[in-house]
Formats: sequence, structure tokens, C-alpha cells
Amino acid sequence: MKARILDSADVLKIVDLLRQQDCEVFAPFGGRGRDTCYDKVTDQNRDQIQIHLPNPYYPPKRFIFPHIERLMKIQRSDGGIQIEPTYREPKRAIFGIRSCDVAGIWHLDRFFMGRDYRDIYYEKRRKNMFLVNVACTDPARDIGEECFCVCADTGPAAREHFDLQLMDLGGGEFMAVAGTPAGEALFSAPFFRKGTEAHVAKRRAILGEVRKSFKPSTTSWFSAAIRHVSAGKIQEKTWEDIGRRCLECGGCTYVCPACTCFTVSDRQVGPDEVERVRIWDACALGGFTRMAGGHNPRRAVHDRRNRRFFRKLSHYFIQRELSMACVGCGRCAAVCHGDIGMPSVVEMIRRETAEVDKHEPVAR
Amino acid sequence: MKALWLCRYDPVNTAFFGDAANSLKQFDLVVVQHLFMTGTAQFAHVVLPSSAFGEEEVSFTSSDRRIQLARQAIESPPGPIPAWEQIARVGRAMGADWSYKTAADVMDELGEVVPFYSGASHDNLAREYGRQWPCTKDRPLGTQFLFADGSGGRRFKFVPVPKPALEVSPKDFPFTLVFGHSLYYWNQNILIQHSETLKREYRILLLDYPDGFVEINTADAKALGIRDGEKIRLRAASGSAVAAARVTPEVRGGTIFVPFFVREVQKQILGRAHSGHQIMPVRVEKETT
Repeated sequence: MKARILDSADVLKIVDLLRQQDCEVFAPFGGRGRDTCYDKVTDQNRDQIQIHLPNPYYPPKRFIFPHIERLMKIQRSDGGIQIEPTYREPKRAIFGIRSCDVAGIWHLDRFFMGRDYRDIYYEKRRKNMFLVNVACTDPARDIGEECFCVCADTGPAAREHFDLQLMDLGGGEFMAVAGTPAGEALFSAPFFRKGTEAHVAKRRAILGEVRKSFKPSTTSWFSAAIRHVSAGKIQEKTWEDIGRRCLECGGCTYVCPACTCFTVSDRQVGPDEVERVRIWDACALGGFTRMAGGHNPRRAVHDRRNRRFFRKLSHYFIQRELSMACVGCGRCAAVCHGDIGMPSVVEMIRRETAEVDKHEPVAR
Repeated sequence: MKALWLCRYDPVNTAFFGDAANSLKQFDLVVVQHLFMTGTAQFAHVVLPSSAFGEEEVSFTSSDRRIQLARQAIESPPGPIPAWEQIARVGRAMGADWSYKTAADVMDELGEVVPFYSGASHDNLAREYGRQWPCTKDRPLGTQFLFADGSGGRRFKFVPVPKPALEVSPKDFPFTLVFGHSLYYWNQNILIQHSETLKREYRILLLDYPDGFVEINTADAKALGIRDGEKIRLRAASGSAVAAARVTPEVRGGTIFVPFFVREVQKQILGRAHSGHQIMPVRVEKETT
């Protein structure tokens, strides 16, 4: 992968370049306190873009897989019915997307486009999306209490699936790494210059150092959790303990960069017009699994909770999507009122397996 | 009282006790400021459509005494204007000298009149997630805990509340009726009716329990031979009501939980002379039809 060096002062010129190519650019901005969010870059807010900041809770996956999106318009006209699909393929870029969220988008790619059926709505948006990843290097601002990308193997610097990756080398310099030909094409801009071996060594040193700044308690026992979930070894009691703490708000899903579930609903938008929309859905909600006839195979909360963790950790899904559906961003841990975000659940599973492992050999 | 002005308040759907709908009918003039045609707005003589959250700069005070500033993020659709501006315009039309230019001006005046808001200017509020009152000029950061220094005679004083004597024998009425919020309170909330996902949940609730439900513990239901969705009769000293049972381990044994939105149950069982006590002993009977 080709790399170039640029001055810190020139980093936002990448945003300008993309905007000059008629690209809608979304970038992270700071709010009050911990609040941060992605927003569309305009001439007014361009200078306020933040490179180092806590990752916004509302994940940037929505620029490819919108929270709510019209699929088609159904109109009554001349005694007939007219159905017209609504395709949107805006040229877009996400500037400053974190490595965990890049992994999340890769997971969505596998889900929506990885097999026989390709989701045309997703595909159209995705093929016009340019990702500028920023590696997390500032322990004070980039890396939060809940971050565990090192455990999920997605960060702090993504290894693939971005178009361009930026890393703050300190001393007023950034390194840009191209992940695709489109990313490399940007290197023709005059503010990029060739790097030296020293730059590469510095990058390596920073990454080695940053890995140590993650909170040790966020180290998840993913491997054990995956093994036990995949083998169906988790006891009912553990799922019930987890379910009892779920308030069924769906928050974990709405902040998750790797959740793919959606529901489809028709709604009237005019006297003779109906639109079909798809909306993010959450397995925490009772209506998620309820059948039309009234039966709900996962009526109890804990049955729906274990569904979430099966989907995220089970070997079956990992094999299918080529990555587990958890990227270690820690958002679920930050928003869950019942403290059953991924790290806590993995910990509960680990404790349970520790119980099971207590079997003593019989000396007879 | 002849006239009532309600600012973003929907008592018909949200006031748990009393009969707001009937009371509203008795007024000569009801003015409602809201985003939507709420249950209350149906009774209004004048409805003033106001801006939504995110369409105006405005402050909120929540029940932990936190005053927060919400910034404008998008423009209102043509028509609705901020609620404070509607009030100011009506005031001016009636001859008052209300020349506020922004919500910040209104807040400044609030600070002059309400001593413990004197430091809560928009400038100050904008610096953090919010300030908890008392937020005064000399304590601009607000007050996290009231009476934290433990001084003065203004601390909370806890006094024992006499337990109301049971008018009935617990033998005859072994269950306790509890009224409260429900996860399924959704159909009463106008904002949730505008959320596609939650609307789905609401529709499902109505499919499962078309007439609402009361919740009974799984073990209690088993002992009484009650199955989920079955009609049960709740009999209290003051009245009785029939409702569908939602059998769930989520409620404690010995209690029947009545979500606030099941208004009929509430009315019938409390009878005419209800005292407003939220706990009452009942007996559960299988309803045979």
C-alpha cells in the first residue's frame, strides 16, 4: 500500500479535494462535553472538523444504510397502480471514520452484498462511498473507556477496507496510506510528499504504543465467548440474567456499527400515494420476532437478548460474514442502562464458563 | 376558571388521575400550543402549531433540576413558530410591552424574576450539558446536591407517614393493585405515534391485547388457572373491572399491575369516590362468559 506524508495544516485539504469532486463529505464535529457527531461539511463548518475526538455514538453507517430510507413509491393513477423504486446513489465520503466503524461497514458489505442476493439499495450507495479512515492515536481523545477494538481485531488502525487512512505522526505530520486506487489518486495533490523509512518506523512505534493505552478491563474474553456461544453451551440461567437487565429500549442496536436488521413498513404520504420504507430494527423489541398469527417464538426478553449475541458471536455467522458482528467500538457499553453491552456480556459468559470449568477430576 | 392556556401539555393523554377531557369541555376558551393534534388539542378552541425540538433554541428544566439548552439544528417548516414567540405576540396584541427578540431574552428576564435562575443565561448553559438550579450569579456552575452543606433549617425533613388502615381483610382481597407506567404506554405518547418502529410495537400490542391488559405474575396465574390473554375480573371494595391478563414474571407475586393507559379498568375499579391512593387491595376472579 502506498503512503505519503502531509503537514497537519493540510489535512483538511483532503476534504476540500473531495468536495471539489462534487462529493458530499461527512466529518466528525465536537459538541458540548462528550457530545460528538458526524455532519455534512459545508463552507461554514469546514474549519471546525475535528481529527482527534471521541467517536460519535450515532454511527456513520447511516450514510450507506440510512436509519430510515424509502424503497419505493406506490401511486394510484388512471385506475391502475404505479410502482416506482427509489434509488439513491449520492457521491459521498466519510472523512475521519474510525477503524472500528470501517470494520462495521465491511461487515455490512458482506451482509448486503456478500452472497447470492445483493441488496441493490445498499450497493448503489456503497459503490459511491469514499472512506477516509483516521487511526486512533490520541489516548486522551480518540480512545474511550469502553473501546476494545484491539480485542475485536479492528483497530486502532484498520488494515483494509478504507480508501485512504490518515495517521497523526506527531510533530505536525500525518501519514496517508492508500487502500484503493481511488485513494491513491488523491496523492497527485501537491501537498502530499514521499515519506522516509523513519516515517514508517515512527508509525510502527506509535501503533505499538497506542495498543497499550486501552483499558485493561475492556479486554474481552471473546475467544471463550465465541466458543461457548457457538457450541450452545451457555446456560439458560446466564441468558436469563442478561435478559433481566434488558430494558428493551433497543439502544444497543441503534448505536451499533455492525447491526444489519431492518423492518419494512408502508406509510401513506399523500391521498393516492404510499411509500415503502425500511427502518433500522432492534432485536430487543418484542415486535421484532412476533409472527403475524400472534405467536412470538422469542417472547421472553432473554430469548431476544441471546439472539443478539448469537448473531454477533456465533461461529455460523462469523463463517458467513467473515467477521464477527462486533467491532469493539464500545458504544453498546456506553449507552446500555442495564450494563449488558458486549464487554459485560462476554464477561458474564466468561464467569459462567469458569463455573463450569470448576469440575474436579475424580481421583479413583 | 374560564380559560386555559396549555403549552405543549397533553393532560388528556398523560394526566393519570382525574378526567382531563371532561374538565376541558367546561372551559369557555382552551388554547393549546403543540406540534401535533393531540388528544388535548381536540378539545381546544384555538390550536397554535409550534416549532419542534431542534427547530428552535430553547431551554428545558428536567426533574433533576437540570436546565439544559437545546440548539436549533434545522429550520421549521413554514408556519410553526416557537411557543414563547406565540405567547409574546398574543401579549403584544393585548397591549403588553413584550419585546423579546430571542429565547435568550426571555431567559434573562426569568433570571431577574426567579432568584435561583439568575445565573442560568443561555451563554452559561451553553458551556456544559446544563446547570442544576439553584444556578445564581455567584454560583454559575449550578448546584449538584441541594442542602449539600447540611446547614440551615431548609433541609428535607422526613416524617413517618401513617400506614392507611386496610378497610378490607387481606384474606378476601389478597392481591395489591399497582398503577404505573408501562413499557406499553406508547399509544398515549404523541411522539411515539410518529416513530415507525415504535408504532409497529404499538400495533402489535393492540393485536395481542385489543382491549389493553393488566399484568399478573406467572405463579399467581398458574395457581388461579389463568392463561395469558384470558379475561379476569378484579374485584375491589369500591368497584370491579374486567381486563385481559398478561401473564408475566415481570411483576411480583401478589400484585396486579395496571398500566396507566387502561383507563376503563382504573375508572371502574376506583369507583366514584376514589381517594387517589395508588395502591389498593383486590381479589382476582376468572371471568366466565
